[in-house]
Amino acid sequence: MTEVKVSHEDLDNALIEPEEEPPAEETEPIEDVATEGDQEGETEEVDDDTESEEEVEESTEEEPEDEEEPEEPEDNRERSKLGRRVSSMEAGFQTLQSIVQTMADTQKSFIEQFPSMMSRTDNDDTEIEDDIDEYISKKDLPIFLNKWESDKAKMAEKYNADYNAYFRSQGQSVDNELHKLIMDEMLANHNFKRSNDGNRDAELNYLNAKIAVLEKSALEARKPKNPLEKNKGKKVDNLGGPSETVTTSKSEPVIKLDKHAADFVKRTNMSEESVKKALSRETPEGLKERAAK
Amino acid sequence: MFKRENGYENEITIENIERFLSVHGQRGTKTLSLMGKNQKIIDALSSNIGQQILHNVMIKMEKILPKIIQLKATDNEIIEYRILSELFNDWSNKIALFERARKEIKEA
Repeated sequence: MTEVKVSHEDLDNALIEPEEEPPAEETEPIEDVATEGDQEGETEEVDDDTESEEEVEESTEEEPEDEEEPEEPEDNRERSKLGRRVSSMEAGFQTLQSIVQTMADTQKSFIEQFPSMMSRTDNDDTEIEDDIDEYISKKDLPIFLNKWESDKAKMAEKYNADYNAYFRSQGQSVDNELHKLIMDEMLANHNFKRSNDGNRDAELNYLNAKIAVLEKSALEARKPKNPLEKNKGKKVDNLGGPSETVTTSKSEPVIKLDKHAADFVKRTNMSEESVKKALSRETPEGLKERAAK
Repeated sequence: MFKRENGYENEITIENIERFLSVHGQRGTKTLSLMGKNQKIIDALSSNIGQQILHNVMIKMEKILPKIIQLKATDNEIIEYRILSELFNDWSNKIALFERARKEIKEA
């Protein structure tokens, strides 16, 4: 049986020496005034711990006297327990310190941002005030309704004027035939009111119609042309009969009136049909002789 | 049937034209064209102003013509007479053509 003697100094060294280094390293970056008090508290806590350790040591000193020797290893455990406790408390303290630090930072930033936030909230209030509905009395209601209707009518007029003005301007700049095709397409499929801006709506509708027309024309151009297209609808003379007995139907005479003749016919209130009729009519025998003379 | 400003009746009717065209066919349209071509000057000369112009031209020509015959006309008067007579001939030719065509249509 060997007695193990542990002095106070050894205990202190064992406890304090390895523990002093990490807090010194970790506490270095945190040098805030706000945390000084906490540090003091920490030291106090540490002091308390040391006191308790001393007490424990005293008890441990007393123990070997009073109790049996095999209990000594328990002291070491307690010591290590204490050491762990101290280290866990230090870790807890560090987390606390970091929390306090972050809180201080947020507070600082809040104080810095506070004036700007205040000014922003002022503006928001005015906007809210603007958004609040105005209440109209029964007396003012007819006036308000009249004004509302007149405003609405004015807006509609302006919309229509802008809408038509755009098409007129396009009619001058775009080729006449293309413009006519686009307008037909627009009126058939793209005549929509999208907003209160007549000019913009007209532009959109016109562009959509233009795209549709150009797409159609592009597709038509891509189609191969049938060379026999011109023969479609032509009647075959004497279909099914012998080729020698071809009967040609008498075609209607084509009226060829020049400008002056047409003017004269128009002046006499004579229609084109009656001219056509007169030209297709067979000449009576007696008149034929007279005409020959 | 339609009347002119001075009351002169153009006797050509729709029936006349139909008949004329049925007799002469496509060739008849040339006559109609001639009628249409001269219709404007006939209208102008048949109007009151046209009649006045025609009258003035005739009087002027009547005044100058004796001088020319007597060889007393100045060069300016001779030129004036030539211009007036050309105008007069042109108008009278057009009137004559119109009247002839009118007669053809009428009597077809």
